[in-house]
Amino acid sequence: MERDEKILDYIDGLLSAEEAEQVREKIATDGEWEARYHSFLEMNTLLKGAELLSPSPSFVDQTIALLETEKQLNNAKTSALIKFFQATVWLWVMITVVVFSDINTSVFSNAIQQWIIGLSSLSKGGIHLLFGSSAMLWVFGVLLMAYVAVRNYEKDANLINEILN
Amino acid sequence: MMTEEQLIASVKAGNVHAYRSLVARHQSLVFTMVYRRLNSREDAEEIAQDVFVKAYKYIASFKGDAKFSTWLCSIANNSTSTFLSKRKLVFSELNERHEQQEDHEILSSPEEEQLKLIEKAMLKLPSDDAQIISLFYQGEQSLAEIADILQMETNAVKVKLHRARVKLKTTIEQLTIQK
Repeated sequence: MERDEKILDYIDGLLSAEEAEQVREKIATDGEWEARYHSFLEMNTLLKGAELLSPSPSFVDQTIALLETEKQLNNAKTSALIKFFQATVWLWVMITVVVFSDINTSVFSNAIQQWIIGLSSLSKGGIHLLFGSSAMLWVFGVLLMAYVAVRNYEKDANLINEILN
Repeated sequence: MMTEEQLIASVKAGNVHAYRSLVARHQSLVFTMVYRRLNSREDAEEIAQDVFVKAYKYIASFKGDAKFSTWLCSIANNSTSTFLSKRKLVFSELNERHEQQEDHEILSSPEEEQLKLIEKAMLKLPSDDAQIISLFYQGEQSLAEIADILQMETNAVKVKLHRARVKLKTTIEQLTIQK
């Protein structure tokens, strides 16, 4: 084994001048060394001439298509979450106006309140319940977005770790 | 024709077309590296595509202090390891790997026959030996670069490469005798 290692190091040019000279002498004087040397040299030459294996002809197109699909999916996911968040925010803001209008006894606030009661047949208690539900929904939406953001961050951190380490 | 550095800079700026050129340049290296460990064209293509998608996503983290091919091979090595551990497959030394002949036209010249013999012998090697030989010869990676890719010491890579070549030589001799 040591002989083979020396011969391979010699072929790879990894030996010092002195060591290389010693190997050259061995190859010149020892039949077994000479045979192993020529055998490894021939294999080395063949390996250098061998080509890399090729994937299917459509590999590049498929890869780029996959890339673009992933980008679109990520955008769609983010867009859906943002829309959900926006919808719940508007709903909550609307209900907040009504609730505050209940405390604020201005004519305008009362008018809004009466309009909503008239439109929805809800009592004041019902409106307060609706406000509470939408506030909880909004908090849930915020927590959901935070959870998704943390998951994506962890996934990205793992991927970066995988790539760089 | 843009240089690799120019292509990478263009990709970092968001140019997907520039990335297409990079994929075309390095597809064979990544595919070969993954294939040597998995010995399945279908799986190797799937993982290789995943490697390029990850590389695109995290191209900003490539600082240019190593070759782009070395960086890609690192991702490929890690992705392949993750894939194997998820599938919980254990490839035993020689017997479970089956030969998959490439669809070549009929080879007639002695040099081509020799190359066919080399490929046959490579398929009989343990997957990590075949991989390290491919990285050194076809991938033209230095010992230090292979050490980075495989997360080993350079000296350990040197020893592993030597042993792989000795095994390959023995396998070639056995195949020649069988013929």
